[in-house]
Amino acid sequence: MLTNALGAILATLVIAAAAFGMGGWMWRRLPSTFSRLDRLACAWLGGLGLLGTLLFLIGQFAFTRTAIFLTLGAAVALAIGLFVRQGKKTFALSVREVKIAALPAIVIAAVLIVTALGGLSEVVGGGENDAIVYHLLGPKVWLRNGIVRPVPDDCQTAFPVTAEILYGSLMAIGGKCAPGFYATLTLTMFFLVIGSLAVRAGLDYRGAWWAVALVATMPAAYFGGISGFVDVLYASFVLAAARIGFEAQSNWDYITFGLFCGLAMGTKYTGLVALAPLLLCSVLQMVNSKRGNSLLAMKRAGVAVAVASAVAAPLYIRNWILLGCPIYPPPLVLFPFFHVKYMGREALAGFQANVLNHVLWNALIHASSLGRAVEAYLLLPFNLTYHTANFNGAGGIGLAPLALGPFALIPARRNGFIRALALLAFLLTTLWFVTDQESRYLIPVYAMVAILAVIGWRYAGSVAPRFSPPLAAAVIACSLLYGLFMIGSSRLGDIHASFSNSFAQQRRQEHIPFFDSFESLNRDASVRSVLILDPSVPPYYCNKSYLKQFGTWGERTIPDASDLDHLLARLSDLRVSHVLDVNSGYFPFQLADHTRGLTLVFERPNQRIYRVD
Amino acid sequence: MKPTKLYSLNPRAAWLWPLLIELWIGVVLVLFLIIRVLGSNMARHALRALLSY
Repeated sequence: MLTNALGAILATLVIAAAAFGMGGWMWRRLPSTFSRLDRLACAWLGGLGLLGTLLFLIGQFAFTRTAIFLTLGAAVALAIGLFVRQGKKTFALSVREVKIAALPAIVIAAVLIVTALGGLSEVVGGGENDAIVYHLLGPKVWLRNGIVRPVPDDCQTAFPVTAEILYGSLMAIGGKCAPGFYATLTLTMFFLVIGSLAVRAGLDYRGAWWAVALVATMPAAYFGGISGFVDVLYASFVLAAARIGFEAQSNWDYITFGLFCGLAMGTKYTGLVALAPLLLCSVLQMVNSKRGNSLLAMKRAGVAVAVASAVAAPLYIRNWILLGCPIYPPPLVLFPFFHVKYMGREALAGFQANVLNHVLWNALIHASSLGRAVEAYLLLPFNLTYHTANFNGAGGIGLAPLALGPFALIPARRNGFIRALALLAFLLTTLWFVTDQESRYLIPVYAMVAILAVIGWRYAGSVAPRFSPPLAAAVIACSLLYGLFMIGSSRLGDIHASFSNSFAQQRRQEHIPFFDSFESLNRDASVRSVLILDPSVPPYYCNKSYLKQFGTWGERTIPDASDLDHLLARLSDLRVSHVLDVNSGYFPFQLADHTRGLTLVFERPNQRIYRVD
Repeated sequence: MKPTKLYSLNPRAAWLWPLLIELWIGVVLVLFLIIRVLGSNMARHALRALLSY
């Protein structure tokens, strides 16, 4: 356990230093108006994204431990060189400049400590956990195979993987617990970007600390950044793009703006949707603030688009070459234009229906749904505050955005930056509403409305000084305490598992589907390659090489083996040594008793392992 | 043109805007207490236990 913890901490420190090294060049290229906090926030985060992109490119040829260590070693050497050359003069943040506000700082520290302690435990879960299904499955398989390729039985491993590549590197250095602990680093970077954005929006450092504390205690935002989820990293890239893009003037400013747009596109497909609103707000802000005319603004936006496309291109071109379509799995509208491999039209239709119909899904599960009607759109601020479980955002975003956020729009009349921020939040929310209503995808907006809430808090206090300060204080206290309670109570199990071997083992037995079978397969030295028959079994827990005939979404991994009989006849060609057959509840056992060529070697309730004779 | 402040357009209504702000914050707070605290499963269980006791 101690080894796992030390490995996770060391891996996170190495990635943090490597990100610093990779982002060093950006320090001087950011807009001249940026403070040291702004530079630290953007250069460190940008370095992390570039590190992920570089490892992805190298991983197309070799994703071995040697390749990873050499790449990270070079990036860490760059960071050391920067420190030695520039020293404290450039990098050290002036404590006097930042001015720590005690109460919000304690809240933020509490969230980070809970994340660090809980992150030292192993991520466990079943087929309902996206981290197990693909965020962590991809990196584990890439490391085992020594190359980065989409896992054939899960099309979601072909999603943009800038964050997942870093999980693979963390696993290579620090083992299976490292991605969990690394959330402490990504949350820290997220908070720094929010702080930078808040100060630029007109808040002093004290106000910025409060804005960060509000976001830190939003369970709906927090859970998108831990246990393998990549949404907080994606949100950080979008916010950093907004921070630079709304103040950009020179070509270099637009190059760095485009870089962050590209990193968002390389982290999640939703980055493609966010690109247009980011560009629009940046162009409007440039024209409105009279930093340039509309022609110049359009030219600079073109530079940003070119850079964003170049940064994200490797991921999309890889998909095009290997899977037949840059966006994989493709939306049905693209199906006629590309020769899509491994997935039929029906499988794609099922996948798309799932992606677009979280609303319907929630209606089935929670018996509550908002749909996409106009009244649902108008009620969105109310429902995002009081009924976030409807969007899989249990715990919500606190009260402050609804109670205080609207008042920020009044001082915003005189502040172009706040106007641009509010417009971006509105556009992103509208696009989210008409596409996939999953709470995690709205994290950039949650951060923006928290900043607006603190601005509104200040305004309400100055305009209605009699009762609004105690009322606003109650709103902030409710938001922080409720969020802390939700986050703390949900992570108690993780923290317990970090410190108790017996509890960690008990949790593994309870939460890992078909735990006994995976234990047996992983322990048995004679197991070379496993055929998993049930598409719903999460193969993340299998430490040996494996094969699935069909993936969860109907992916066909062996096109010339159309049914089970054909597959069983080819077992020796496929070098399969063992077969795992389960009764999952979704599918019954698939092998009849005494199947020829197979010997039953392990049996538990609903689980059977056969050896191939 | 000199910019005008929203709450100074009509001096007789100057008290209205602060009151609206306070009302809005108060309503959001009360709704939170009703929906998320008193309406939570934990509160329902506690109330049921209290009534059965």
